Amino acid sequence: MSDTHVIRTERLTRYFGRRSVVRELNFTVPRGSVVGLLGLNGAGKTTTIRMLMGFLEPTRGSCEVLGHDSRTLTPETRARIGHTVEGHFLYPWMRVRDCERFGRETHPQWDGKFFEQSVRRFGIDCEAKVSWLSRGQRAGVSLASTLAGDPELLILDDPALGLDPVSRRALNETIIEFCESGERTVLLSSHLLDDVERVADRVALMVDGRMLVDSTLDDFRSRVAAWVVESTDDPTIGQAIPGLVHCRSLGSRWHITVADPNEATVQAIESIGAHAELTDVSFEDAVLAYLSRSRVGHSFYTGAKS
Amino acid sequence: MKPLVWKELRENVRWLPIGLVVVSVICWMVLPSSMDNYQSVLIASELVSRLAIVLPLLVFALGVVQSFRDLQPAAGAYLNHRGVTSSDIFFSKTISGFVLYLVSVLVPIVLLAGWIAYRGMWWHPMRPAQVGPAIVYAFAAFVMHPAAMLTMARGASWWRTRLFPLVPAGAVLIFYFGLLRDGGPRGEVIGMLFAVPMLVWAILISRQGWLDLSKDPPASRTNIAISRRFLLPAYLLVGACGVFVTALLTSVGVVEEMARAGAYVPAPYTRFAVDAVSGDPYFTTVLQEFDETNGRYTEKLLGGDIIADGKTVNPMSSIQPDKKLLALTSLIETGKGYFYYQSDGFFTGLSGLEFGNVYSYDERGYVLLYETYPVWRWSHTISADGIHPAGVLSGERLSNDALGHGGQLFSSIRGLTRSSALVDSHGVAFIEKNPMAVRRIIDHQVDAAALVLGDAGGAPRMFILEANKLFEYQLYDEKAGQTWYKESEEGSGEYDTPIEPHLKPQVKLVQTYTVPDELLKLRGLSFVAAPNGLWFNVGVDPTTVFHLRFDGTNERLTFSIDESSKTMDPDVFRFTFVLAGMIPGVLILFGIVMGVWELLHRPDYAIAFSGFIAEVSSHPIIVCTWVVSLLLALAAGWWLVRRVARTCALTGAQTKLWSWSVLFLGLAAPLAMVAIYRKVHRETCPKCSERRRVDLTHCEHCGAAWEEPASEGIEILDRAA
Repeated sequence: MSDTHVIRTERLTRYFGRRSVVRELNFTVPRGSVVGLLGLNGAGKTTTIRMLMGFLEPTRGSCEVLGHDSRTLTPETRARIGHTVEGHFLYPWMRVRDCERFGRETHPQWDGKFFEQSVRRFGIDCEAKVSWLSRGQRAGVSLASTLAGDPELLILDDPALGLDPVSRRALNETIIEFCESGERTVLLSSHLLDDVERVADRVALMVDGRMLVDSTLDDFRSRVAAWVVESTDDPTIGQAIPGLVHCRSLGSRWHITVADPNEATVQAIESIGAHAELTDVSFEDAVLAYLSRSRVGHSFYTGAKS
Repeated sequence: MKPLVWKELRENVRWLPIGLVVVSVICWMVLPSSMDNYQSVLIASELVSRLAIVLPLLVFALGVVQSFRDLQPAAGAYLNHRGVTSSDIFFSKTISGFVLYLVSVLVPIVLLAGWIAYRGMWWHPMRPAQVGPAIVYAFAAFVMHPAAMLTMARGASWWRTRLFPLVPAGAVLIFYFGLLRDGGPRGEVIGMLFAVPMLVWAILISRQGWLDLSKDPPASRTNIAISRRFLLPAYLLVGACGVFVTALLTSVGVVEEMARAGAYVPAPYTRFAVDAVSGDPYFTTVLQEFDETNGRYTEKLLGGDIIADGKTVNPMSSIQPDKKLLALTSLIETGKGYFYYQSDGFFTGLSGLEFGNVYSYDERGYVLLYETYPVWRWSHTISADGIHPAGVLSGERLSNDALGHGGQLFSSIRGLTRSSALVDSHGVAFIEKNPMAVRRIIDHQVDAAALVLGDAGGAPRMFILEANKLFEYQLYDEKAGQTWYKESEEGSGEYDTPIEPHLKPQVKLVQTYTVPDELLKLRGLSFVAAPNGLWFNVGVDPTTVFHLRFDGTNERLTFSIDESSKTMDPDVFRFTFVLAGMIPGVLILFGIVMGVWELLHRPDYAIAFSGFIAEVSSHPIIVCTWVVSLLLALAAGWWLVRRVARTCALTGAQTKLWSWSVLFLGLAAPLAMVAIYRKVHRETCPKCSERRRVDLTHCEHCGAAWEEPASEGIEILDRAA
C-alpha cells in the first residue's frame, strides 16, 4: 500500500445471510483528506466502516487501514485510529471525568488538555454523568475522547445525528481544526449534506452496496448537470439518455440529472421537447439524484398516490 | 487490562446486591430453625440443593449482562477501537465477573459458617465445614459464565449456536450436584481437583468463541481450519451429543410411560428357599399380593421344585401351598455407611430413639445423642469404646453409623433393640438406660452380620462374619429362658415381633462355620439357616447354591431352570426399540466393552450373560425392530451428514470423516456438524451456471473470478480513486 492512502479496499464484499450489503467495493482514502461517505440507510456505509475497523470480517475481498489488513489490526494500530460510533455511545454510568480516565488508560498517546478544552467548548461539566448529558453534549464528549488519543485517521459514523445547530457547528469546527495540519485523515459518514459540503474535500457515495462516486467535491459538482423539461409523461420512458442519473417529476415538468453529459446527452434531451432548460446543480441536488436511484417512490406523496 | 477490569467492576457492581440478597435468603432457608421439620435438616445437602437451582441462573445472567452490551455494534466499537485486544476485554469480563460472583456467594456463606460455629453442635448436629460443598459447587457453577459469554458471542440462530454451548456446562453442574449434595469432605476434594481444570477449559473455549466468532467470519475461514482451534468444535460436539442422547432418553421415558398399564398387576417371581423341616433346597415361584384388610403385602407360594446338582428344576411344579419354607437372609456388611436416614457427608439426619431421644451419626465416627425434652440439647456421644458426655468427641471412632446398622440388623424384633442396638466392625452392643451405658454382647471384629428368626417360641440367632469364620450365636434372656421370643401372629399385619421391653438379651455361641473362599469373593451374600446347615445363594446367579454343613464340609449345587416355566416379556413390536436403534454406536460399544470386562473379572456374570443371550434369542420381533431401526438410523445419519457437508461446503476428507463418525455418533453426527460449521451461501455463477460459494474469490467449479458489477455509465471516480 502506498503511503499516500490510509484506507484501501479491494473488491470488498460482505453478505448477511443471502443478502449482499457491500458489493465489490474498491475505495481509497488519500492521506490528509476529509472524505464524506454518503448513502441512504442500508447502503452499506456502517458495514464498510465496521469492516475497516476490524469489527466485522469481509465475506470476500480485503481492506487495509494504515497499511494493515483490517482483520488483523493490532492494538497499536487501532490506537492510531479515532472512531466515533453512530449515536455517540458512551457508558451511561461513567462521569465525564471517568471517560477521560478510561481513554487515558487505554490509549498510548493521550492529550488530557485537549480533552478538557474540547469538553469545555461544548459547555460540559467534567463531574457530570454521561446519562445526564444532552445528545449534543454526549457528542462533544465522544468526539473529545476520540481526538484526545491523537489519531492519524478519524472515522466518524454519522456524528451529527440529532445534534442542534450549535453543536453541529462546534463539531464541524473541531473536525476542521483536527485536519489543519494536512497529515490527518477523516472519513466522515453522514446524512447531513451541508455539513459534508462544508467540511469534506472528497465525496464517496454508496448506493445499494456499490460505490458510484469517489472524487473531489469540485470534480463531482462539475461532472453533474441537470435539465428541466416540460412533458406530461416521464420523458425517459422510450428515450435513452446517456449518463442519466435520475429523473423526477416537478408537476408538469421533469428534472433530469445527468453525469458526465456530452453531445449525445444534449441531443437526447433536446429530442424530448422544445422546452429543455439547463439548470444549476447544487451539491445537494447532485447527491440526492444519486441516492434517489435506489428508491422507487422517493416522494411519500407521489409514492402513496401510485 | 487493569482499566478494563475496573470498568467491568464498576459497570456490574449494581448486580452484586441481587446476588447477595438471593444467596443470603438461601442461607437463611437452610438454617434448622427456619425449616418446618428442623430435625432432619442436613445443612450441606440443603445448601447445595438450593444453590444448584439459583447459582447457575445467577452466573448465566451475569455472563449475559456483561457481554450483551459490549457485543452491540455501538458499544463494541467504542470499547474495541482503543489500544486493547479482544482477549483483554474477554479476560477482564471473566475476572471481574468471577470477583463479583464470588463476593456475592462467599459473603453470605461465610456468615452462615460463622453462625454455625457460634451455635456449635449443642442444639443441632452441624459444623462450619458443612458449607464446604456449597463453596465448591459455587466455584464450579462459574462455568455458566463462559458458557453465557460463548452463547452471546456467536451470532446465529438460537437452536444452533445458543443452546449447545450451555449443554456441556449444564452437564458439568449436574455432575457436581450429584458429587457434592451428599458427598461431604470427600466430594469437596474430588470436586475441587476437577473444578480448576474444568473452569480453565471452559474459559479457554469461550475465549476462542469470543475472539473468532464475534466478528462473524465467513465460512471459508471457520469451516476449514478446525484442527487448529479444536477446543470449541470439541465442546460443541459434546453439547450436540448430550442434547441428542437426552432427547432420546426422554422420548424412551415418554413412550414407556404411555405403554405402561395404569393399574398395578403383581407378577410372580422365582426365588430360592429351604424346607424348614427337612432342610431340602427348593426353587420356588412366589406371588406378592397386597392385602387390603391390613394394608400389607403378603406372599403366596405358587409352585416349587426340589434342587439337585445338575437337575433341571421347574419352579412352577406343584407344591404343598402351606409348606413351611425358609427364605434367604442377607448379611449386612459393617463397612463405612449408614442406614435409614440420609447423610450430607458430615452428619446423618436426626432419627428418633425409643427412649425419647434423637440421634445423628457424625461421619467422623461418633453417634451424637440429643435430648428433646425439656430442652433440645446434645446429651451424649457414643464412640466404639462407650458413652461420653456431650461437648467433646472422644474415644475410639466407630466404623459406621452403628445405631443405623443396629436398627437394620434387628429390624424384625420391634421394641427392645430396634433403636438401641449398636453394630459396627468393633462388635455388637445395646444402649442401656438409667443410667445410660453401653452393654456389649459381641466383642470381636464384625465384617458382616445377620439375624435369623427361629421357630415360634424359639430364640433368634445372630450370624457374625469375621474374616472367613461365620459365628452363629443364639440370643437369650437369663430371666425369660428360651421362650422369651414370640413371633407375631399370622395375619396380624405386623412385620416385626414385639417383645417385653425389660428383657436384656445375651448371646451364646452355638456354631462356627468356615466359609469357602469362593463365597467370600462374592458380594451381597444371602443365606438360609436350615436344620441341616447353611444354604448360600450366589449373587447374580440364581442357579448355583452352596450347602455348608455343620461338620464343616460344603457342597456346590448347580442346576438349570426349565425353559417352559420361565415367564418372559411378550415378543411384540415395541416403539421403545425403534428409539433404542438410534442410540449412538459409541454407547453400544461402551456397553459391549463393559460386558466383556465384567465377564473377564466376574466369572459369575457368564451365567447372567448366557441368560441375556437366551432372552435375546427368544425375542426375534424385538431384536429385528432394533436392528432395522439401527440400520435406518445409520442410513439417515449418513444421508444427513452428506447433506450438511454440502450445505457447509466441507472438504472431501471432512465429509469422509463425518460419514464414518455416524457409526459412533449416530444421528448426533449431523447435529454436531450443524453446531460446529457455518452455513455457506451460494449464487449462480454467470460463467458455468453452477451454484458457487459467495465467500470464495473464485468459482469452485470453473475457477472464474467474480465479475465486477457492470458500469451504469454514471460512476464518477477520479484519479485518486
